[in-house]
Amino acid sequence: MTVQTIPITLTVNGNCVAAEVPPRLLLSDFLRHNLGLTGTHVSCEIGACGVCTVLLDGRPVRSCLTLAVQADEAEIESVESLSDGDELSPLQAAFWRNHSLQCGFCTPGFLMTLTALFRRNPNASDEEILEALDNVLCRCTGYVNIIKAAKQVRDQLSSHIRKQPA
Amino acid sequence: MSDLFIGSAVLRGEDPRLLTGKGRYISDVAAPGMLHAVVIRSVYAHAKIKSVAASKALAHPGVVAVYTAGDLGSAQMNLPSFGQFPKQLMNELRPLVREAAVTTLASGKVRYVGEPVALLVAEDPYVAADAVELVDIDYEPLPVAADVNATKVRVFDDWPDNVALDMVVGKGDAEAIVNSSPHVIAEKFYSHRYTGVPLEGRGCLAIPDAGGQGLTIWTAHQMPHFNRSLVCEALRLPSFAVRVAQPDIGGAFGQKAGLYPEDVLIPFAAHKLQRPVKWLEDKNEHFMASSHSREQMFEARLGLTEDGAITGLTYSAIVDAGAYLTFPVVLPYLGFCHLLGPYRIPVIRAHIQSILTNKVTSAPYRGAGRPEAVFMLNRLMDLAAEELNLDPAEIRRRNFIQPEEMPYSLDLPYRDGSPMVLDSGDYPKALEMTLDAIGYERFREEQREALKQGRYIGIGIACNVESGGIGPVESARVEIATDGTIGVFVGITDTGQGSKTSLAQVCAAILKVEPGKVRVSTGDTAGVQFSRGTYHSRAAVTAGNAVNMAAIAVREKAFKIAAHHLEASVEDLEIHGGDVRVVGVPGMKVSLAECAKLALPEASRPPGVTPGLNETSYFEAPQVVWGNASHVATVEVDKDTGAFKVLRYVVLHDCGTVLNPIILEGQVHGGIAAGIGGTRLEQLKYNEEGQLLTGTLADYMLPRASDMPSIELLHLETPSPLNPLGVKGGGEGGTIAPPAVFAAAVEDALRPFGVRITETPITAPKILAAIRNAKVKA
Amino acid sequence: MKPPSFSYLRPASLEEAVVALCESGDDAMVLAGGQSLLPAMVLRVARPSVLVDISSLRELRQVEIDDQCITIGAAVTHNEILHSDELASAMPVLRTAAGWIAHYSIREKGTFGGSLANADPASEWPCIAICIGATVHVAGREGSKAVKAEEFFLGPLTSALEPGEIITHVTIPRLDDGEIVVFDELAAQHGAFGYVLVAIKARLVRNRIKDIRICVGGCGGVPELAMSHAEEFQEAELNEQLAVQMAEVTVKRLEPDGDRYIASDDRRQMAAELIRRNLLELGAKLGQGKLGA
Repeated sequence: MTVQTIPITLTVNGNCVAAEVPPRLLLSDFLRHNLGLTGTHVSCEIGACGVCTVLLDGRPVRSCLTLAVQADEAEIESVESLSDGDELSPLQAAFWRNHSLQCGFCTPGFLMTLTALFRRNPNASDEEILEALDNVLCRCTGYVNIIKAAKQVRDQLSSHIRKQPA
Repeated sequence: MSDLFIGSAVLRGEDPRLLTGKGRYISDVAAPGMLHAVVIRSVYAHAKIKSVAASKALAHPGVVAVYTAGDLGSAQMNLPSFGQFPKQLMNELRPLVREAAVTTLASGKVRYVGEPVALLVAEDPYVAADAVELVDIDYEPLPVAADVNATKVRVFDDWPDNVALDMVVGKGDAEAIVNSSPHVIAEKFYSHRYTGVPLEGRGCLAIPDAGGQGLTIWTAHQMPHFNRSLVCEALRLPSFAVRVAQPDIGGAFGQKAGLYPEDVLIPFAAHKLQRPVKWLEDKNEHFMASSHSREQMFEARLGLTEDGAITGLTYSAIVDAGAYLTFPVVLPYLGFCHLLGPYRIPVIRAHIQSILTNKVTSAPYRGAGRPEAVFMLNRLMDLAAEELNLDPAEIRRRNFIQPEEMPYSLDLPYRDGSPMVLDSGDYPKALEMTLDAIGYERFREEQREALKQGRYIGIGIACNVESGGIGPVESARVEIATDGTIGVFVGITDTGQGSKTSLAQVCAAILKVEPGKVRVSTGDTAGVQFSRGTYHSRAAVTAGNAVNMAAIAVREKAFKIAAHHLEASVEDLEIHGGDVRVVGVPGMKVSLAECAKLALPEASRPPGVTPGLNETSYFEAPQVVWGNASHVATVEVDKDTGAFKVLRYVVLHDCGTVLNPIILEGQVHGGIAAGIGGTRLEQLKYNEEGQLLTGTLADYMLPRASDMPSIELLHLETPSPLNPLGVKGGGEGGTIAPPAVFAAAVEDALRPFGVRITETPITAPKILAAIRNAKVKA
Repeated sequence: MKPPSFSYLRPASLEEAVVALCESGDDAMVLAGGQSLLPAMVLRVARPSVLVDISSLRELRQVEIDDQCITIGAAVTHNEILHSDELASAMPVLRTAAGWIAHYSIREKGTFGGSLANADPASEWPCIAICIGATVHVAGREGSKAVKAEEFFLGPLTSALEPGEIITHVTIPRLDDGEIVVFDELAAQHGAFGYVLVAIKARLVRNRIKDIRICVGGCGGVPELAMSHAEEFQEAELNEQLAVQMAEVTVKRLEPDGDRYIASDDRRQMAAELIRRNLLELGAKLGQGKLGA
């Protein structure tokens, strides 16, 4: 039996990528194995844990529940895109400052989820932040410091917005 | 100045890497020509294996090998168990312990759903997943021991019953004293089955050395040195031919301790095939094949005087051990040890049993037997308070062991045979601080007001002691490179808790450099010759003190070299900012980098100084050290839906000297979250056929952000007199008390109904049932 | 955990999709958001030979609101519903219910039509669809057909969809003055499988019941329309006592199963309590002029 492969072209973290992939290849495996972007982690593989969350055309999606072929012509952003060289983004810096990670396995899922949330709504309320954080499981931190970092970043963003002339 | 960096909230050095996707976990480690292994697992809880037919799978393109028990040679073995009593204690306590060892692969019979039967190795993980379905295993199903009461089924055919551990332990004539007490509280308690579930599963990559003489093994495991011993025994290799090292580890919580069949199987396959072989546990496998924990039932009698002073405790405990005995005595005996504080229990008698069932093997998970026992003990205290018409806080006050009694001997042996002595702590103060913080008296008023409005709010208290830092020995090596970089090498593993940073702080404090200048390597057999790994809240205590000693030894060596070089006396030297300098003489100094160069073999060293600026030290722990905690929570219960909301959670955790307050805070937060999950959400439920009904993360609910209350954390620092740093274990503390706290708080809220909470989990349906039952009784 | 092999088709139109599905045999399946299908495939519970990806078909992604009805395309995602101010103002309960569905990134991909096709009795959309009298529109080789939501769900994970059929859109009648819909759920955890789900649509005039529909999810193989008109409660005044009475009558008609987490009696008790509470809440909302229409 010959396995069908399908050509796809997509942008990953700003780079154009073309590949031939079997239909069943998961986006998570495509990123990790084909492209070597191992910052995206995989845990439950059924969509419950959210650690594999990446942005697809700006929307946070489970990369384990997305076929690589479905990312054809899409723009993917993964955790590797967040920092500028060694310079941490404000969100990453807030996670560091607040000890919002321990083992770090779930961290990329939180960073991508919050990136999507704050792009859509930099003024997200505490409830909206909590709701968004429910997207990802963490087994180490008890979420306390993740919530703290998320609120700090929201406050930075919204004070920045307030300073801008209307 | 010696504690320059100890106690500072140093940000973790590993974080920038982890935050930018540059972590390197076992799933990220690769080797050229790597093969992928999948373990084929039993689908029956109890069955005879009649045959395994692999020919179809072997014919599938991309499949390299299929192994069954008969193919493994010396690697088919009984895996060692852990935490057994030392010989002397065996003689003293005379427990019945039957050997029920896990074997590498099941042969003849399977005893739980998920037990490894065969190993398939393929070129690609997708191919491997397809090929697994082509391996035909013919089983003859047997009746299943679904719980500890199954009397007709033998998990091991030649046993008279399923009792794997049976012992009586205690002090004094507890039976008589309890029975003759003015008040006796008698109750049964049950703690349900749940477990650690780190988001990263277990996994390893075994890479053969050129020439087939040995292996390098990358593994997500808490005990690399034990893993190495096992591999060496299985493959008949000398210890120095095998290196076992940890990559970044995505959480462990006890489940990556002990030894599992895969720890032998994957190195076996790599050695046999002479190709790198990788195995990653998926979450499905995790639930059916990584250790479970917590399932334990108690029947207890607590005696009290008219004043509410405890006279004694008698109880029986039965652990549902699952199919094998990997930690024969740890769970129930650790539980026993944790009943002896913080309340004074003059006499005690425990009848402890572990009974096998056709379920996943029980083993330590964060807390390891402590949460179950602490649940029973604190529930008994609350029931006693009710009977004696005392406030739950007051009955605790009347029974605490007092700070001036420290060190307080418990006159019983710990599980490692050392004497059990509470080394330090101020239990009354810990409770008063938490009560003050939550506003205990005021809450009682609020509670009365709320009740008038039909709202049911309640408060729960639980106090516990917590052993940590088990020995016997841990080692550390400190080395200064010729560029001045300081390396710390330990065998304990950093599974996310931040040991790398804490240990860097300990070393930096001695060598007076920024902690960022210290690089710490953990969990690598190439780093130190001996180590036991990370478990039993021991990393900071044992490795921390070993690092402290090794750093001092290196400093002393640097002083000798510097003294020789500067033509000064060692007594006149001090260390500062990466330099060794002569006190009071500006410019008379030599850098640590220079000292390292002066220690090179070809350099002119002082007489008697060996080459190399590095030292290895061993910390020998005289006994475990005892931290303590006091947890208080308030809840509001919806009597009509059974739902309850946590209003406030206050915790005081005293684990001696704090190395890094933000790391410790993170440990406590995480521990409480695990306790909340275990109490309210997480359940490993089996049916009568021994099939797990909650085997995915959609069915086994872990706590999420919105499940967490805000946590108010208080500190009390009572250093341990038993080690130079004064540290105690901090990793497990938060997890121990939550089940007891929530049971007490919910019961308190529902006091108007006379509800009694004696079991976990505490879920909405359970609360509804408890209210219904209480109404029936009334 | 890897899905078995399958062929993948991405038709350019609904018409092509129907043809592709029909020609691919009985083992072919529709891929919309994939948030239930892909987990089933990874667990190897579902083994489609062909997946026909309809997620980007424009025809299935429209949202229209006119005087008579609300139309939601099958491939509209849960989050698109959650974030649509138009839908929320036309029928606020759609936003409420969407907020209960799983978690952020699942809702980004999971679709309205996919949830209906999956026919999980403890899912939000089937329960809501029945309550609000939605009609499910289906395209097949023989043309299109319309099925009332209350006739669409046949059993756990079983719907009236025949092989080769695709849900195209759902139409929902607009609410009249005095009508309101509420939705509520009890779950061990937000986003987890609910113990009980309740949707109530009611028309009240001066706090007297004119008409009512109560649909309960999670209490049987399909969401149960346990009350479909006012019955003996016509013209009754909605107060605490009546709410209790109606809840009792409603739950008597349920035959909830127990499962690993909850006994059937507890489920019934929770359903009664949710109904009671939400009846009072909708009464209060209507009283305060927070109309559902």
